[in-house]
Amino acid sequence: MLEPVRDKNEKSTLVDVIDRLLDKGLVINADITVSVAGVELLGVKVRAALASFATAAKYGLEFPSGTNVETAAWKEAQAGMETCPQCGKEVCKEELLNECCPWCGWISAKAEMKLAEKAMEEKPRIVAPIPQK
Amino acid sequence: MMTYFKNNTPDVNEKGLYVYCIMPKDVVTIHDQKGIDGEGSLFLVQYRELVAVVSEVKLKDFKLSMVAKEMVMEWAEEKVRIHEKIVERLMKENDLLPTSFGSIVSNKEALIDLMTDKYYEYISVLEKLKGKEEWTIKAYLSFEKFKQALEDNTPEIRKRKEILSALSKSDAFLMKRKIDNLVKEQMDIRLENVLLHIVEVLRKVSECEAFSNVEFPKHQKDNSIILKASYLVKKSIFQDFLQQINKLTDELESEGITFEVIGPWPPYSFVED
Repeated sequence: MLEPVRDKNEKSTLVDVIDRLLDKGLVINADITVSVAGVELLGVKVRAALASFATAAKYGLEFPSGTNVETAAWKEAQAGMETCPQCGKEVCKEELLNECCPWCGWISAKAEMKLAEKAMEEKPRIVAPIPQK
Repeated sequence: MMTYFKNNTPDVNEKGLYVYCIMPKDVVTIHDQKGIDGEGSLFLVQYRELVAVVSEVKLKDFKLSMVAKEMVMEWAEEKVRIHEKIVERLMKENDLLPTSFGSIVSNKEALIDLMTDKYYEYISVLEKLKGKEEWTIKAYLSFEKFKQALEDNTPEIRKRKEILSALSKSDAFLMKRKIDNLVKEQMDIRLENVLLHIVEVLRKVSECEAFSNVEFPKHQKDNSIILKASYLVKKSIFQDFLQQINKLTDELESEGITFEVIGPWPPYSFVED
């Protein structure tokens, strides 16, 4: 008999809690928040960035050297990460392989091929007139 | 790159209101409790039939640049956990709309303006959520078990495997590749059917569903997550819901598929109209 997990302090569900609170829930109008306060608070953009901790780097949130990256949430976030072979930064695997490194612009062979294919498609085709008899 | 590090330093003590949730005013029970910073107490801001549960916080604690500099994992983990705890406690006695992490308004007036704007939207979503809870279902796949079960249950594969032993080395090589491809193909089909089946079964005992993206297992990793979904379930029929999952477990366990049920959650996934 399956029992529902209720203790959300368990390590395995903490990631779920974080995901949920950062990614979902009622968004109290960010415009009001930001404009009135005159400072940029944790708005929608950063919430999204934090939602997968590792992508925070993409939004310019650099973690200080003392950051503890051994926590469960961080490890979980690392699962989809890959080290860029050029600059050595940890970036989203999907993005690295299919697009480019958001930091240094390194392009994988796969993405390069895709780009080349796209360029080929966009190239105007040379149409030779059919000789009339 | 550092667009979020702005230098407009506010008064260090400037305060704002951290909003945890919005609820109907008549069912509210609010306990004497500290807010997310451990200092400001929870209190209510009312507009017509609704109240927002808030606490005062120092803006600098949530200011982006500050957070960025001090953004350690523990900070987020701890704050998220407190936010969740507060909402979960309120959830026991109230229907509510949980807010996303870091929902801060500058003052009471701004909050009331917002509630005025969204009043009918909030009312209608609250009505929809009445007496319901959110549950997360995760399904995991044990690749080897799944493959084995499929090979055993597909006559076509079984037959080819039997032939295999009688073949010469080179023929066997080709046959083996054929079988591998067939297995792969059949696994995809079976998995898709299983997922559709799970979704169909759970749809019947829930009010609403929301799927999260999962990275589909392309490789033979054990216990890969193959489904992550949130369901809005009537409290009164939760036992049925659980029973359906148990039934699915009985059905699919031999194929290496297992389930996990997590909840109840405040209805984070269903706050939109």
